Amino acid sequence: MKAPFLTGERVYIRAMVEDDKNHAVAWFDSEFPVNAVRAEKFMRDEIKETWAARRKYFVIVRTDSDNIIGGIKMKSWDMRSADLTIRMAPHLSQDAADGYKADALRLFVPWIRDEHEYMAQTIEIAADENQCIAAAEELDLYFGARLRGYLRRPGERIDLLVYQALNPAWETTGA
Amino acid sequence: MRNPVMIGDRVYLRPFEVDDAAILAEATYTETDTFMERGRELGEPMESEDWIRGLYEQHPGTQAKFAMCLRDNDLCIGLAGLEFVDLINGVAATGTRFHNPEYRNRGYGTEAKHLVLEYAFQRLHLERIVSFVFEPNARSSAALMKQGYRPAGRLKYEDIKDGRFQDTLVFDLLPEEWLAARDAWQREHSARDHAK
Repeated sequence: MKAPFLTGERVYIRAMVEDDKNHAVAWFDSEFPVNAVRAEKFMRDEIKETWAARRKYFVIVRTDSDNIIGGIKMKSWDMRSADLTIRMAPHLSQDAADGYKADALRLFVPWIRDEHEYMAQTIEIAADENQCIAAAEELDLYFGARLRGYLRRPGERIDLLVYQALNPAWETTGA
Repeated sequence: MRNPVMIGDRVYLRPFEVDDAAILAEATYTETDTFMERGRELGEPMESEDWIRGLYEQHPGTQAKFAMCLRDNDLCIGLAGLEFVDLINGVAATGTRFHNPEYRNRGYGTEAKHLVLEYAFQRLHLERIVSFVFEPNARSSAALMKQGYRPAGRLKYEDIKDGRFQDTLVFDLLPEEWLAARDAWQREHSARDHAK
């Protein structure tokens, strides 16, 4: 199922279905292995509320192959602001993961900001995710914070950049 | 002292126990400040008990919350600890809260915070600490700066206060910055003791 408004050239974003438990390594936000039993329990525990859920989950899928290559967790207490966590499949190269994540940001952020009218979405981007940084700039995201050396990479530490997608409609009303 | 994890001159840190639930709930009734969040809440002992029961279930967990207690009489005066612990990246966020306004501005919080940071950097071997403060809570921001934290940015529209949306201030801390701040605090502390 592809929603035209969340489908791009390389990736599309969709809600989760039960079979996604068989591809949990790609979307489950952990560096430790996750099997279908654990993933199904997680899905049954987490994806049971509807419109008022505090956490919503989506998968990122390749448009050409329908392979799941990532997941999005959207955490929101108030349906006004949200924290987005994007997980990319560990089998992807860093460059490919960066590119697909950037594509997902371009689809997802405007949908939540413009159509759902969220006031703010907070997104963390590593300082070496150059394609995501470019996407953040294209989307005119607000640069909120730089956490020095917050992420570990082999042999070094790199900064974590925190961006926010702010809804201009709220800004102009003096929010 | 009861089950201590970190011990300072006047305060120590220990895990919360179920019988702390009543203190946590009662403390909300004596709160005098309204600027820390949107406003004061009234605590429920059963809710606190449920929170404590789940606090240490996960090992290794993503949080390390401690009851801040006085060495003199074991009284629990607040909460200090870590959350969002990420052992892969070696990072966590700190959070501190006094339950009892009577013990504010007497140096207990600073001492407890240095114990938490010692736990973070020297027991868990974390390499970076972050903290988030609702902007109207200027007292917490000032305390963080004294403890060595540096401003890292601001996130917009955290919550409502005084009729408008206000921001969260973000701070971060490196181990060497913490050690320098703790050395300065210890020098100040011993000079004050010497003068007495």
